[in-house]
Amino acid sequence: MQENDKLSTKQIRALVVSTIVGIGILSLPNRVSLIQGNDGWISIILAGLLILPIIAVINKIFELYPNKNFYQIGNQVLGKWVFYIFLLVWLSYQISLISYLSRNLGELLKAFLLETTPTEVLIISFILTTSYMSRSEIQIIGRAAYHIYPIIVGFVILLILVSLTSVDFTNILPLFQSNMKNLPKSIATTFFSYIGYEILLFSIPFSEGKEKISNACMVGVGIVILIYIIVFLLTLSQYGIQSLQRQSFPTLSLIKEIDLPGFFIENLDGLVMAVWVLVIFSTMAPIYYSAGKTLSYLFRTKEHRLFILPLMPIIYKLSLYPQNMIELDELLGKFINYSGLVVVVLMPITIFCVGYFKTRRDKT
Amino acid sequence: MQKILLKSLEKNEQVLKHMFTDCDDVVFRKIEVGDIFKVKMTFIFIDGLVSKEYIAEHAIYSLFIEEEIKSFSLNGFKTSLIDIISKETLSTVDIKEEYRIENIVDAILSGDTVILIENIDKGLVFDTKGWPARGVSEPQTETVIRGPRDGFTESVKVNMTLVRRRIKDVNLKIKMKKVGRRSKTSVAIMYIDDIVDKSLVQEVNERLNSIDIDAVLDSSILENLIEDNYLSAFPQIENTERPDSVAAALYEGRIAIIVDNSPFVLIVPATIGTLLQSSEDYYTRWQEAQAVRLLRLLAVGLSLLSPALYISIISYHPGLLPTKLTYYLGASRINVPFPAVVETFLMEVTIELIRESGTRISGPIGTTVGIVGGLIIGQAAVEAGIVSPILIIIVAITTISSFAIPSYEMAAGLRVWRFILIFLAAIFGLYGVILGVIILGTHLIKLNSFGVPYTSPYSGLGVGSGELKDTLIKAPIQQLKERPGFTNPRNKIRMRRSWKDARK
Amino acid sequence: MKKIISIFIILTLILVTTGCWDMVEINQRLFPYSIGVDLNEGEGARYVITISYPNINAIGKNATQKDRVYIVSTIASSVFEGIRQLYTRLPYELYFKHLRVVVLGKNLIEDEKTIREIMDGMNRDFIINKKVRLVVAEDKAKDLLLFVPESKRQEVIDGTIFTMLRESKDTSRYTPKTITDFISDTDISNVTIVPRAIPNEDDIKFFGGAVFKDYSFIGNIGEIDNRGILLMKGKVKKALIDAHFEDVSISYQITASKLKREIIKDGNLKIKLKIETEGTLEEYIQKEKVEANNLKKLEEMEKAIEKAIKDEVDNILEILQKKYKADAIGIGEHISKFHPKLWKEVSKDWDQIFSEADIEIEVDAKIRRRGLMQ
Repeated sequence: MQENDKLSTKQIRALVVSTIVGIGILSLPNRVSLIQGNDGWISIILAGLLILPIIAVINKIFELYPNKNFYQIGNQVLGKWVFYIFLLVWLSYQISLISYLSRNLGELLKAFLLETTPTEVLIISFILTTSYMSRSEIQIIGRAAYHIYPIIVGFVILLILVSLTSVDFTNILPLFQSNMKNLPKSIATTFFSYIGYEILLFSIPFSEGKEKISNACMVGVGIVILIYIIVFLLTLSQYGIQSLQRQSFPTLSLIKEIDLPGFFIENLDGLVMAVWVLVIFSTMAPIYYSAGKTLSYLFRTKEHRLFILPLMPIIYKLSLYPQNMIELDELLGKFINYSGLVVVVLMPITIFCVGYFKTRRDKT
Repeated sequence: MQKILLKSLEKNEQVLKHMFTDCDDVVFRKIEVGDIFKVKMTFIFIDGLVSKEYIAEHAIYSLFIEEEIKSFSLNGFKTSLIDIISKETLSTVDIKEEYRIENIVDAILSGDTVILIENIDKGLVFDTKGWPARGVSEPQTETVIRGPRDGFTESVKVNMTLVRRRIKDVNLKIKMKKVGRRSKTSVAIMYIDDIVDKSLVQEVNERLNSIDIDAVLDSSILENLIEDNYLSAFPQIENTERPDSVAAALYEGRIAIIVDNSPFVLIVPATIGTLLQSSEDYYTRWQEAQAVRLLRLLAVGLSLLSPALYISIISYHPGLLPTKLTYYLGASRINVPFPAVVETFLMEVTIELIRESGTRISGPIGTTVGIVGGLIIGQAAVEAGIVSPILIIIVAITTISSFAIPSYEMAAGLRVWRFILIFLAAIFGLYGVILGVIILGTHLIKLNSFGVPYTSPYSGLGVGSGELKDTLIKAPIQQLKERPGFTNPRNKIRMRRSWKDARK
Repeated sequence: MKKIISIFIILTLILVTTGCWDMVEINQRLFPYSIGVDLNEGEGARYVITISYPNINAIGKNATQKDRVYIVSTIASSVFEGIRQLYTRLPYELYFKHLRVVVLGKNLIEDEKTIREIMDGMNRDFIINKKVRLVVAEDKAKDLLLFVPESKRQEVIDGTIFTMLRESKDTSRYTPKTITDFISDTDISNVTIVPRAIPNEDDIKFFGGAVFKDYSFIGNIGEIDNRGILLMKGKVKKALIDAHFEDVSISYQITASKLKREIIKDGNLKIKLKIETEGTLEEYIQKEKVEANNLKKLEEMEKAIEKAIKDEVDNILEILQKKYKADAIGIGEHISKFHPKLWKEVSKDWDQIFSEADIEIEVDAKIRRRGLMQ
């Protein structure tokens, strides 16, 4: 039979792009311009470049221990109990991330599309839909990512084309005037728009073409960097730095600016919301899947789909807990930032270092 | 219960007569051959299933004129009687010896003739099939403008022949099976041995062998029994009435299943790409085929989404359209009593009724009913102010798009989902439509057809060689040098050069 | 299996009957296309809010009613409050996605705080289309809106005001401004200009602009002034200049214009603006001898035109610098982008520095086409 239990390099690339491009794209320009001003694009590039070594590290982990999946490697390298602690942190990170995403989407939908529908209904329906996809295996999620990826790219291209009518590129100037001391802080803010690549920990063991995977991941991150920069530059050109700092969702407002009645292109925000739901879905489904997988490893079951539905009440409750968007960012957002640091940065590096030394030791 | 033949003709006849009690179309023809020593023989066949001239001329006549039997008593026989009859006398094209009653009964029921001979405990069986059948004519469901016009009929043999004529390769293998306890339908599995993936052949064989059902009346019943996911609204096995489609599929490394009594041949595996292809794409010029392929994708989208989008815009988000359009839509809906959902639902049901009644009545009345029904009902409804004219347009577009899809079952599956999307749009507006599309997409991605993912070639599996070149777009034939990869064929190259390459 | 199906059916029924929370049919909504805001001079709440919306029944083939526009007005304490109040007087829900124009009354714009409040409200709202055009009424916004139905240039769907504002490509006597532009202009250079409108016999006239500095209204400018400002920004698309040449007035139609800015700083700030225009000679005078084919004559005509333009521009520049102390021509913006170090020094007192700056105008007009005649 066909090797359809392996992910191809194209699918890996698509998976990386569609999982990472999530929430960040809507409010990233605003957040980074608040700290760094016109030079926000520098932090975007730098933060992205910081990710690349971590991805190389992840690839190397799987090179050290071929034919093993992530849990086996972690167990072997770190020992049972340390790994368990990591996994628990990871699990809470995943659950908070899913709740954050659902709530964020629910709020946006309520604001733009469906004003009277209760937020609870919106959140439940979204979690249910995502759970249908998360119950399958990573190959299927990879295929779905491959389908959503051109939609994301196409949307960005559409943004470019339609805003060409009204942007003023001189708004990007002046360059290099901002306070460079703020760079670390702005890189930190931007860094967390790039999280999501930990899905690679689950997908690399299942992919074919081992040498090219590394390339595919890098290309994927490169594409994400490019997308973020384009969005930032477009919103900056459209609004100028002061207005940009004022807007909560610059990307969305960018769409609202497009008004060419002569060409019948108006009111594109419905289209944006549709693409938006797809984008959030493509970010959330792999994470939900990995949460299920983590649970299935912790409880030693074979199938992860048992855990998908029971997680739903937890996610639902957690997503409704913050009172409003600001609290959402304060509580969940911060938690995701810090635990994300542990999960996506510390854990791979630790596993790699320990594993590297262990294999060296085993060889001698 | 006697299982094998005995030497006594009387007893054998009785057993068979008993089995065929009340089957008045079974004929027992007794003859006696020989001048001095008469050899008694009985021909058993079913009148209507056999070609009676054939039996008369090649079996009975040849026995009557046989010298050796006539002079049976004079000398001894060099060879046994049964060998004389089967090898030297009967001028039939094939001959078999049977001694099991079960096989003899099967043979009689299939249209063969059985000869029982006195004092011999074996029966001779030969093929005399000849029943009234439809001739080879143009397929009614898949017409093309250019291309061959022969279509399959209800006979397995004819169908096999039509395919074999197009593949004169010794690697074309045909395996016959019988499926169905009582119907014992002949099923032929065809594949090209050095292209196809062996595990696929094995899978097909396994699934067919594991069926235990009374009757297989049509290939669609077989399809439902062997497909991967019977709960899905979408077909996972392709069917066609055209031999050239079958031959093309075999060349791609797929397997064809011909079912007796059905002019629809099954092709396995099927993907979205193949279900949206029509053989005409290959016979017309590639530019037009290209445009038509894209048009088909548009048709799929329209037939699925139009009513749902209409509802979500009218009832939920009037802000999504350009202002002028919004006002006109609003103006067109003044005094319409129903909300958009109810309107849409009514019109959709009406269209389905019209379509269904058009299918029941064939011929000229059928088409007229369709046109008349559609036009008049639509017009009258608008005049009465029950529905808005925009909705009529939407419903008409939806129906026409669904007819533009080559595979009827696929269109049917989309129709089911259209209603689901209407329902979701009624509750959640545009968000509901998106959720529905996501769920539908997930379902399609998960679906497999005999181990091949349903959404390959769009899924980026493997190295994307011939995939998109033949599905999303239609590359000229000079560029389709390799077989598509989703069937995992063993032999990838199908075209080595065109005349321009030859000149280089 | 049966249980799943029955749960499903119950869920469906519940959702359909109690759900569909947001379902409002399109013909049960009203789409206002303009709002007018005035200060309330009588007693009661602060504002007078007026909205106008088209009569859907008057559109389309089966137009059943003659009145094409409806106007409603109410007194309220804020714009959104006014809208809520109007709900009690209107049969259907208002939906502001297709709002096109916001008219501000004269007495309203003199109060800075109200302008800020209104701008914030418009900008923050999710639904309002950000391309809404702003207009300042010479008197009361309500009067302007009430005047509209009588107007001849009526387009039901977009409303007169918007139609005129949209078709403003060919004139430079006023510059349309959207809400976003208003706010970003103020963010960048503290100054923005909104077109003025006045009912005029049976028509509406747009002209010139109201100058806003730091969200408060500081004065008016006329049509010619507006053109001058546009010339100094390099954004003139089409304009007609009248010039005097040898006792004859020439009409010169500008078809394209460019602007070059040059900043020189030695001691005081000195700015050179070079305006380049090209255009068509529209009207000269019929003379006995053919004159317009002489290159020298043409050059002299160009000089006359240049002088005319320079006079216009100098005039408005003086007003901007001395009277309003407002940089409406984008020089501050230019400096902040292209000479950031300089901007750091001058940005704090920019208004003062601008008013004292030495701005030199140089005009280069070219006649490219002269029509069919010699």
